[in-house]
Amino acid sequence: MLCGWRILSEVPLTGVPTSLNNQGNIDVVIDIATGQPPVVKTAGRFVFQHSTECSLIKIQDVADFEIRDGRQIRIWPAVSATQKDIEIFLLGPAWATLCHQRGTLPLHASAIVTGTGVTAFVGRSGAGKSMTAGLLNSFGYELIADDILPVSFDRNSIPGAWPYLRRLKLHRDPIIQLALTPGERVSETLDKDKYFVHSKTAGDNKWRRLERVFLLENQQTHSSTPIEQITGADAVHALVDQTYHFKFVVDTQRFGHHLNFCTRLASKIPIYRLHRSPLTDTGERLHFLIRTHAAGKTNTSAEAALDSE
Amino acid sequence: MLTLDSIIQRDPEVIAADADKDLIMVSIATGYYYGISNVAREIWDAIESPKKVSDLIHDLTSSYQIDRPSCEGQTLSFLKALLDEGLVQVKDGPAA
Repeated sequence: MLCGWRILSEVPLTGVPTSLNNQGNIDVVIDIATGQPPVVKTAGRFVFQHSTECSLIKIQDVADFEIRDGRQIRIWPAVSATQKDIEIFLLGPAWATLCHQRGTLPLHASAIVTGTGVTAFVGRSGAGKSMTAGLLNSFGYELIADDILPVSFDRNSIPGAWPYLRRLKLHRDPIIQLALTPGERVSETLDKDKYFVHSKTAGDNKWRRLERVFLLENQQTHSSTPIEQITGADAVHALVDQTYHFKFVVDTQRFGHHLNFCTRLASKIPIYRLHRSPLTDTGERLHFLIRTHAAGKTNTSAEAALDSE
Repeated sequence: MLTLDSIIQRDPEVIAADADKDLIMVSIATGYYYGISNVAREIWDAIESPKKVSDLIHDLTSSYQIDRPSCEGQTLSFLKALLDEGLVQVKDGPAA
């Protein structure tokens, strides 16, 4: 089961909990297709072609993926493709496309469990999403996602998320810095410099309320307000910006629907800008700031307490 | 030039979404995001169809305790800001 959906897959999915319980309907079928893949209209090493009917993702030397109706993923593997490389794109843009088709927001985020809810970290590439989640995981917080966090509303319009893949993808230096144990390389060909790091803590595979989002931004100088809440149009913009595989939204002309989703989400949860500086990059300080925020204490009191240390 | 006789309408390249009492707008053309609320939102709702500025002001003075000259000044100022941002268009009006 992944993202709360029962999956029947011909492709082994590393890191996805499996179940011997075959009760219940299957939500998503992943199979290896035979014959020729559908033809795409454009050429290139990476081709993403989305329509309201189905989506085609073509990754040269890896595989072609067809994602249809939010229920089926068909894969035409390239002759020389490795299982790892197929998984990168299956559990990346192909899965994000599936989320979009099913009305779930694939937020480009890492996430941990704080208290009974989820705290997510978003930001541009290199902002430190994985490292922040890894740092907090090392302090005992349950890791539930790195890269994609599937966000949805329950029947009471409360936003929340299922765990996705409980593993980080980190370069060797942050792994050493955080005293984590590296697993296998992400890929021998595509992502040679990163390693999987599995969560230090296990947890339940259940939907949890999304309680807050931190937008990570790097800055070189110390800010007196490392955490500030952003609201209104800025908050909505942040969520739209951090949508995984936004190309789907554009190509299927669903921006209005997507804007509604992000606006609704921004009206229900606080979104904070977390300025990462040489000072906040200290593990203990970052941990303290996040922990006090999660406990509902104001930024001012958190800063005052920290400065008095 | 925007006048009381101008007919104002929303730019079709603007998408909006409700955020409780606020309205979030995005200009597809520029990628900029905007948030409006209260009277500004009411004006935006009022120009869902093309509307003459003087008619809009008439409706506002009927709804709010404001004198007409003040309403004209503030409404024209707001509409001009929307026009400058490319969020509305003047459909038909006197030449500049």
